[in-house]
Amino acid sequence: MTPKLQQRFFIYVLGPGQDSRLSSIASGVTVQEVNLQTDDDAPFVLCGKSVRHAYTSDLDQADLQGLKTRWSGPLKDYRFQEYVLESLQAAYYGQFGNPKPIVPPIFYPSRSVLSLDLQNTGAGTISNLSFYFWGYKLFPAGAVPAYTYPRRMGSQTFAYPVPVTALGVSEYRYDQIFTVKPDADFVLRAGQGFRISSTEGGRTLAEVSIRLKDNHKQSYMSDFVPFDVLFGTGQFPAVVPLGPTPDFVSPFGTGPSQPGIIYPEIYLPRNYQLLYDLKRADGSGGSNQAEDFSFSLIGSKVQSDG
Amino acid sequence: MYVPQYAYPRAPGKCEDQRFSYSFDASNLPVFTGSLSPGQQTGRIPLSLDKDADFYLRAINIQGAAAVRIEDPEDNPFSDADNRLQAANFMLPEQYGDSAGAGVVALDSGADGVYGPAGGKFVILLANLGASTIQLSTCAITLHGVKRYVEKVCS
Repeated sequence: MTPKLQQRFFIYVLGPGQDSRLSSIASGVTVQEVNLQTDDDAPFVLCGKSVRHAYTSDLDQADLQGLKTRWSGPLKDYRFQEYVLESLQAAYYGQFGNPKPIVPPIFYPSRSVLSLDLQNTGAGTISNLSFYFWGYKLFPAGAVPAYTYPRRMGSQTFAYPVPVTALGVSEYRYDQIFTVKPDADFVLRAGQGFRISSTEGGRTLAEVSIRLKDNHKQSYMSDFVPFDVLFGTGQFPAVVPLGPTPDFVSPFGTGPSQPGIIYPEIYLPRNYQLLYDLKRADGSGGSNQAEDFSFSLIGSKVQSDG
Repeated sequence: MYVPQYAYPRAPGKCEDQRFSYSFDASNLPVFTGSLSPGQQTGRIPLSLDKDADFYLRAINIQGAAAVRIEDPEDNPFSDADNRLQAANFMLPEQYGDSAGAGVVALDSGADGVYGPAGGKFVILLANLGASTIQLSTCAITLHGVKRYVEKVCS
């Protein structure tokens, strides 16, 4: 814990919504100075990173295989001697709730810039490429609402299943409410997402993202983060490329035994209302339709002990 | 791969913790020989603990397609969302305890684990939230943790 500062979980998203050049990167193309400017409300400490592109119709991310990147600290001090293949930096490109750890963490002052360069050395065009920078913002103590454990307390494992009904193929659903049960506080430490799926008939449920917000609508992420980046899940029809050819592998070792960890954890008092936005971008292709699914918020119940 | 998220303390005083797992499937729990139709759920299924020592639950593994709700011996559920939908009272194994062999699923569970007294009963309820019938013979649940022996019982 940083003295006299409070840490607040945060993910910065750097994707086509932030720099349109990331929407399509042709084979052989180099893109330089894709800049991410940190917010002016607080410094940011970078602890992890993930990269993803929109799934192909086969539910793979084949075009990540040839992606090389390098990126900088706040003084445009690159942390790489050369461009480095993303496939050689992290298991599963840091997805499925397992971001590539950045150790030691990198401190970015407010309104500083992370500059990212990339090359597509693969054979295909990369569509809708996004980077996710995991970490926490540092606020002066008391600057933003924050809750923590009672002085004397007991805790027990607990998980909230969150059902989502009939999310349309290209729907935004804002300000959904997750309410903590009134019998105990809840500390949110991890989450599990739904199963990415595609049926033979062409029904696909894959491009679904979430944005968590506190009850003042202050977001825990700068943009939507796909479920398969933020959370793990136990079954993976979707596959990731491995090797230069590439082969495709199902992620192994993620999922319930290693759920997407939210750090610093988010402490929610009883009756607290955590808000979340949902976005689905599968579109109307194939026989896509509105789908029901659920995700899980996992952690502990906390009860005051006198 | 049994890794609690946080380190557990040593057993207090003259106690000794021994690693222990309970496993329940069709071989030792009759309910697992039946089937669940879509939308159907079981009643409360007791998972009986041995009488020789208290048990502290620290992790689980679940196999099968049935959604699960676990309650501790004091009837505290491990998951619940206040009946918003039937699905909100159960956890899908793929989001909870089914790691397809890729590790044991650790639970955040207080100082020592979730307490189960000697001879006590955890309870599970199963539900079929899918569209096809589930043969419960394909389902199993394992409770991992420690038995806590008092010194004189061990010796």
